[in-house]
Order: sequence, then structure tokens, then C-alpha cells
Amino acid sequence: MLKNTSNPIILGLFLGIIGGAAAILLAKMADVTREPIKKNQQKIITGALESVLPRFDNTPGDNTLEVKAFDAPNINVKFFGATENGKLTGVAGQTISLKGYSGEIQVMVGLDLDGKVRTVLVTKQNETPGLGTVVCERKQEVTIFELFSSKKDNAPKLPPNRILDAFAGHSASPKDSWPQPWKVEKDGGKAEFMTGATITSRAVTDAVYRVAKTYMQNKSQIVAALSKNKAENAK
Amino acid sequence: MSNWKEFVKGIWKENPVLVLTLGMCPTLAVTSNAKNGLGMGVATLFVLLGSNIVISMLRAIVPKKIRIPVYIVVIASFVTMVDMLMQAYAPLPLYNALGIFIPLIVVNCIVLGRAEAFASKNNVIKSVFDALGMGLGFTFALVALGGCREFLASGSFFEIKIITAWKHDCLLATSAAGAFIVLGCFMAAMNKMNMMKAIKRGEIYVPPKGLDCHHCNICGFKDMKDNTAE
Repeated sequence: MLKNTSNPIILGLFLGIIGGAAAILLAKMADVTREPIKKNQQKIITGALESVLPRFDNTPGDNTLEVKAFDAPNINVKFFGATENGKLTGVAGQTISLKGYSGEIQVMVGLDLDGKVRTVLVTKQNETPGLGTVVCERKQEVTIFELFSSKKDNAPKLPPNRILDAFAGHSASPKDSWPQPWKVEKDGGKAEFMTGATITSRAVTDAVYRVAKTYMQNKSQIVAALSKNKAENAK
Repeated sequence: MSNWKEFVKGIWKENPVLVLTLGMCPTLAVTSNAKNGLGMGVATLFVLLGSNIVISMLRAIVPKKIRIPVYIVVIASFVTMVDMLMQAYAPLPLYNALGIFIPLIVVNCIVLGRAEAFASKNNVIKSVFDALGMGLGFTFALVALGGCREFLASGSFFEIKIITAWKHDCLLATSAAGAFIVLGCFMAAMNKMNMMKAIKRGEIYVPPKGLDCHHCNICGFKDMKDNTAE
């Protein structure tokens, strides 16, 4: 009966019932998973912050300030402040570069209070696997021999990456040994690059320099804001 | 016994990727390494299982004229659920790798194909076995493809370096072109094996002509299939 009907009202009603049942089920499901998803997304940010910032006892994810990038009016740099015992110990800046090979590249840069780069982490990218990703990824390679030997515990917490580690210790101050603006070696600068992934290397350099320079230019404002946030959080 | 047959057929004889050539989009896009293939396979297996059960339960009451929209609603609901569950509970790197492909399961023709060709005509228990077999076959094909491409690209398997001297990745294997090449080799090898088996049994091997059509009668091709069989 129902199977062969061609009455449009019945057909519409049936589809409506099925759609309604699906909607109720999905709403329930969204309700159940909302909290874990939120927690997970926070974990991504906290995880990235933990590896670029010095030790902290606040939640840097809530202690933030957005500043316009020095060179591009529509790109923001988001600064996270890490404090220990109420004192600002380090700042992390997150921004994007639009010069990537495919899509934007998002980086998280840990800075000390003088603006010197501590650690660089690429948090979002869509580069060519095996080429552009080599520039961006910090990946600990496990070999078959290490799998069977016992010395796999002493792996460093953050695997090294030649290109990203080259930024460490440099700042955008005029006294720094790197000429400004930072460029890859191929373009006459000092930053490392990888043959075959020059565009990605350039984009990463661009983003890291944006964070460093923006911090330098707005240093007092950022430090004041992030220290104040902490005091407000404590209240 | 027939349940067992439904289960086994998806793994080898009617493998969704290698024989039915269904769901090529996730197959080619995801399998740059074995881990992604496994994740995509398991996600599809779950969606397939859920949609097959529900569609098989609804098969008696779904009006023929609107069956496809109803199936799509059921499948899309399961996909959304899998997406939310994975976002909430799966390890982060896995979700990051599969995030953009999960919504694609909605239009993955394996799921709709099994709903239309099998679940809408068979009872729940048979549909469960069909979904498990097809899902496992899909997972198996994806892991094999991904593992093969990963090994050809960097000499590793499941991100474990097997040939330690391999320093530079071979990009052909990780690119889309490499996916087609490896998949083609897999299909050729499978046909060869089936052919040798048939010869061993003393039969003449007939390639599966129009096999994907005979599993799906959306366009009423079934009668033609019966004609060609004669």
C-alpha cells in the first residue's frame, strides 16, 4: 500500500517524518558531544601553546590580545600570554601567511619578552605532502630498529625541524644579526629553506616575521594588556 | 551459512574498491598512507552498518518513489553522527587527517549502493553481514593501497620506517597520479589471480562484465543483465 503510493501528500509526509526523526536524533547527539568537542578544540590550542611557551600556571588560551599585523591591515596576530605567579614569562603569537603553496599557513610562534623567537610551530597547513609538509611538520621518525630496541623513551618532546628551528633566538629588533625583513637564503636573507619547497619556506618565514615584527612594534601595549588580563582573571 | 557468504563476498569476490570500483573519491584521496586508509575504512564501515540496518528495517514501508531521498537522509544522519563522535573522542591527528573526507561519505556510492542494491531487499541480519563484509573489504583495500603507497613513497609502513636508508620521499606515490597507478596495479593483480584460480578449476575465466550495474538497479538495468547472462 504505502510502498507503491504516488499520493504526493503521503510522500511528503513520509519524508517529513523521516527528516524530523533524523533531526531529533542529531540534535540529541550534538548535545551530548558539544562539551567533549569544545574541550578537544581547547586541547589543540593548549597543546600548541605548551610546546612554544615557557612554564606557566595560567590558561594562556584565555589571556589573549589581537593586534593588527604591521604589514597587512586585514591580518591579525593573536597573542597569548603565559604567566607564572602573576608575572608574564612569555608570549606566543599566532598568525597566518597567505603566501603558501595551497591555502593559508597558520603558525604559532613562542617569543620571550624581548621578542626573541623561542619555538615555531605550524598549526595549520595544506601544502603538498612530502614536499611542503617537510617544512611545516615536526615529526619524530620511528624506524623499525627503534621499535624493537628499548631506547624509544628518550625521544625529545618536540621533534626537531631544520627550517623551523633556524628562527630560534632571533628577534625583529634592529640589533639582530638577521637583516630585516626576514627572507630565505635564496632571496638574499638568512632564513633556511628547502629546495623544492621554496614557496612554503617563504610563507613560513613571512608568518614568523609578521609575529616577531608586530610584537616589536606593539611590545609595551601587548605586555601591559597580557599582564593586566592576568590580574583581572585572578579577581 | 548464507550469512557467511554475504560477509565473505565483500572482502574478495565483490570487493567494493577493487571489483565494484565504487567510492573512488575517498579511495584515491585518503590513501596517501596506511593510517589514513584505516581511519577512513573504519568510519565508512560504521556508517555502512548503521545505514544498512535502518534501511533494511524501513524497507517494507518506504514508498518506492522517494526511496533515494529517504536513504540519503538516513546516510547523512549517520555521517554527521560519526563526524561529531570522531571530533569528540577520536585522537586528534586522525581527525585532522580525515576531517574533510568524512562529509564525503554522504556521497560515497558504496553506502548508497549497498542501501539500494542490498539492504532495501534483504532482512536486517543479512544486511548486517553485508555491511560488515563490504566495510571490511573497503578497509582492507584502503589499508593495502595506503600501505603500498606509503612504502613506495618513504619506505615506511604505518609511519614506521622499514628501510632506514630511505631519506627523500618519492612524490609520485603520494600524489593523485600515484594513487591511480597503484590502484591499477592492484586491480590487474586481482584479475590475474582470479584468472589463475579459474584455470586451476578448469573453467574459462570471464571478467566481471558490468558487475557494478548488476548490483544496482536504480535505472532498471536488471532485465538487460538477465539477457546478457544467457
